[in-house]
Amino acid sequence: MGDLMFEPEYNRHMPDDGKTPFVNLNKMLNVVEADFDKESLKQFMQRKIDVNDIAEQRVDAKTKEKIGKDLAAAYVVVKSGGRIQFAGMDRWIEKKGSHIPLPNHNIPNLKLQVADLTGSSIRYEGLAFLEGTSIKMLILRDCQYIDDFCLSRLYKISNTLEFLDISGCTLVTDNGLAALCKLRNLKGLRINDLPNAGNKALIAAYLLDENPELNVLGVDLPLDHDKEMPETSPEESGQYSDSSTNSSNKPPT
Amino acid sequence: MGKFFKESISKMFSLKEEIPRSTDLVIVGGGLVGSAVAFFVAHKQTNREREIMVIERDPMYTTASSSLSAGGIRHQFSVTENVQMSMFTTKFLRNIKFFLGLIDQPPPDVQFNHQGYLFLATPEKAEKLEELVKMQKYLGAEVEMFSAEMLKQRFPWLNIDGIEAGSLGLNGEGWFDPHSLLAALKQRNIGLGVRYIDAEVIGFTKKLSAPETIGNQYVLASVISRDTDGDMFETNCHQVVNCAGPWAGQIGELAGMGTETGALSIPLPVVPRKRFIYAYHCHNGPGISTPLTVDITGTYFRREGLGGMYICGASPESEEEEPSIENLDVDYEFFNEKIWPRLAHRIPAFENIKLKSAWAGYYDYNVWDQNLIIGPHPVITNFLLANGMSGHGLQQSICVGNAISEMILNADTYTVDLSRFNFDRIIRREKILEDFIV
Repeated sequence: MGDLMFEPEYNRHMPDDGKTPFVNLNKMLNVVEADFDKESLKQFMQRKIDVNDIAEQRVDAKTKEKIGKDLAAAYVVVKSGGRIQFAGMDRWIEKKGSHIPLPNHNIPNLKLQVADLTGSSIRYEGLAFLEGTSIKMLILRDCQYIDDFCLSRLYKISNTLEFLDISGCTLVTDNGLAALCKLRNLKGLRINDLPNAGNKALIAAYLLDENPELNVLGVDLPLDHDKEMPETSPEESGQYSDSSTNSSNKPPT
Repeated sequence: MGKFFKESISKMFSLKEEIPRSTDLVIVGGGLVGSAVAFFVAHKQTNREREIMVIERDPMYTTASSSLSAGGIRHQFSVTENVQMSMFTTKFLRNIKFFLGLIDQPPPDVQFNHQGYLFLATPEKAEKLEELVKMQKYLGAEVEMFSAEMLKQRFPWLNIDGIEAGSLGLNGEGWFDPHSLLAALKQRNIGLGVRYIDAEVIGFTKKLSAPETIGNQYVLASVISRDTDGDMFETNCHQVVNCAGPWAGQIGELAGMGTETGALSIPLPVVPRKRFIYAYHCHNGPGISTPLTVDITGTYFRREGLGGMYICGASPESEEEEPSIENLDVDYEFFNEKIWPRLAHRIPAFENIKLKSAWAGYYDYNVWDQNLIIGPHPVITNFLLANGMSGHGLQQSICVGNAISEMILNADTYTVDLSRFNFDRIIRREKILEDFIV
């Protein structure tokens, strides 16, 4: 019953015969009144894109069961244009054209460790891939659909997540940054270019109060804060590999 | 002749719009519930087939419960539909850009704080709490049980004396600014053609809808309202929805509830109940991860903003202690004697606080069983009720609005089945009781 709500589903496979139970929901979410002016058409197209993205970014339970949570998660990331690293492997895996170079059967002990979704259109619903994984590093740079609710959902990997980059996610506000308090094992956080988070320095200070191990990058901490800033950022010293500043493809230690 | 002259003059020179003489759907009350009902009907209907009129007597919402609410939203309830209703509201807020956003404008920001709710339990209540958490998780709520020790580790500011366990909302719970949501709803509604009328409903006209042999069934034929100038208007209508919040009982009475015999002899059991919220500052108080915490005594608090401010409150412990509803004056003795000592015991940092301000608002209190009453009245068949949420109106408003729209638009199925909550249970003297009342 929990799934029966408002989940915007692109019902390619559902008959629209007026009798199946999801018709009401889908009518509400998939169809916008077709006024033929520029604004309505824009809204209509955006809704089609939204619905399509969400359909593309989900994995059904049967597939997850067959290939395992980590591999299913890897599929979502790579299919969305991102790249991943498994634990113990030294290279990035990403889409080659339309081919996804991932196995389609379960491989025991395969752990997804790094997911880089820079510039992707990953959605709140798409982040379901995090469930049951032990991702250590998550890059959500320049993701135009990542908002406060998405950041709250990251609690799913709070046990293992050590580095998060949400630079350039313009929808993120102060309240989204505050939600990162749930990432209790976080060691590195990059928050450059967040135009809608006006108080990010203050919130960073509050996060540091609760998690002294945290390194926050991309913000000038308040002058009276008693935490000493390191001489070089962990990125420059090579502690965390990052696609834009470090050309070597080493996974984090 | 004088009145006609006055009307012509006012038409020529003032911007005052006349209250329409007829409409399809009348919504009594323009707060969160009324605006949500208007929104879903307007959003879902095609080609504006129903004219919608919202009648609100307090257009600046100065005493509206919607504006005065603490703003909390949680999924931790003991009644399954209550869990589903607020989960629905969370999903709506997450998709607010789609529903209420305007193209090329930033999405409406309701300032949603995602820190969740924390309910504390004594050893006697801990097992029951665990069962309820299981039920909530089954419905899809993201809630987790924590032992007292785990809570102490996670929230060092907490005094776990007398606490065995707690349940914490991990995602989708928290608090937000109700007025922003109301403003966004109203703006979108007006864009969808909904009329907001600044007037007070003072009566209805009824007519029989079925032959007397079957038993009297009425419909409300028109609504009589008085605008801010004191002029009275009559508006013919097809359906009326009672979204009058704390004053729903009065509107019910105007419609005939509690006046005649049979099913009409039962009044709508919703009355205003005053609740206080106190805002205070604490220098080294609980940090940014602090959830809206509800103590075993029923006292609650949450962070407010980023400057060391917090708000708190509690419901009175018994009927005798209920404050007078005559006005919205604040009782500071209640804070000093009942709330502060309990807060300070549970959170030692709150021994040193500075009370900054306080305000009061009304719960739309269902004296029967403190739960929603929704659906058409059995005798006044075009009179829909959406009342009595008893302090949960904010978090249930969106779902209630959607549910009413499904009834009005004759949906094939209901997104959340609220048929249990119809007025019949009042007639049959059955109660649906919620354990987690705050």
